[in-house]
Amino acid sequence: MEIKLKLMDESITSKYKPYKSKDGVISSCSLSARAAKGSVVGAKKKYSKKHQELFKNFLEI
Amino acid sequence: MTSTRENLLFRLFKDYYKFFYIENQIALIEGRNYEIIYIFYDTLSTIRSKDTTSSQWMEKLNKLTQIVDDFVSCSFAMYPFLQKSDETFNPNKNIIIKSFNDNVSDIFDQFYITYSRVSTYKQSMIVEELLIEFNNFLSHFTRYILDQDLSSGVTHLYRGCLDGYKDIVLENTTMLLSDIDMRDKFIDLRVQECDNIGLKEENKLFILEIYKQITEDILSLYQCHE
Repeated sequence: MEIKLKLMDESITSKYKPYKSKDGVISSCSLSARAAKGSVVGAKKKYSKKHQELFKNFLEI
Repeated sequence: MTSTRENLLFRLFKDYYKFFYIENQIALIEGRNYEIIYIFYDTLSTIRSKDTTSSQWMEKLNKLTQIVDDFVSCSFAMYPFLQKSDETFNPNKNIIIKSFNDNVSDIFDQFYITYSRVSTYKQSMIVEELLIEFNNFLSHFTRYILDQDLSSGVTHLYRGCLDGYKDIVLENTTMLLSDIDMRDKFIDLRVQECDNIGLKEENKLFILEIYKQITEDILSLYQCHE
C-alpha cells in the first residue's frame, strides 16, 4: 500500500509567502542575536558567480 | 518513473545526500552554500504545497539536480582531493514518506511560516541562521532514513523557528514593553518555555504558535507606526 505524503495546508501556503525581491537581487542576512558571535558567514565562494546565475534562473520558475 | 510527490521527495533527498557529502567537506573553506540550501528549502516547500502543479515540482527538481551536479563537479575541479561517497543512497521510499509524515511535517509547516515571516521582515530571501538549521535537519534526516536508530533531526527545525521569532522580538523590545497585553503574553510565554524544558519538540509546537501570534502583533504595530 502506498503511503501518501501529508501536504502543507493551503491556508499556510497562501498566507505566508517567502520574500522574493522584485528586481531579482538576491539578498542574504544574519539574525542579529547570533551575527554578533561571528560564524562562517561571508567566506568567499569561488563558484558563486555561476551559481548566482543558476539561482536567478531557478527563481524564475 | 512517475512524477508523484513521493518519488520527488525521494529524489530530493538523493540530491541532498550527493550535495551534503561534498559540501560538508569544503564548508569551512568556502563558507556554507546558502544559495543551494535555500533551493532545497524552496523545492521541499513546493513539493509539499497543495497550491503547486506537477510541472512546477518537476521543473524545480530538475533544476535542483542540475545545480547540485554542477556544484559537485565544480568542487572536484577545485579540490581534487575531496572524498567520494562509497555508499549508495537507496532507502525504502515508503520509509521516507512515513518518517516525514510522522516526524517532520508539522514542524516543517511551522518552519515554513517562520521562514516566510522572517524573510519578509528582513527583506531577505536568504536567512542564514534559519538555513543552517534547515541544513542540519536535512543532514540528520538523510542519515535517519538510512538508519532509523538515529535522531530524525526535527529539533533543528524547531530551533530555527525559535531563532527567527526571537530575533524579531529582540529587535522590537521597546515596542513589546509599551503594550501591556503583548508584554504580559510574552512574559507568560517565557514562563511556559521554562516550564516545558526537556519536552520533545512535537509536544512544544504550541510555544511556536504563541511566538507566531506575538510576532504578528509586533509587525501589525510596526505597520501602524509607519
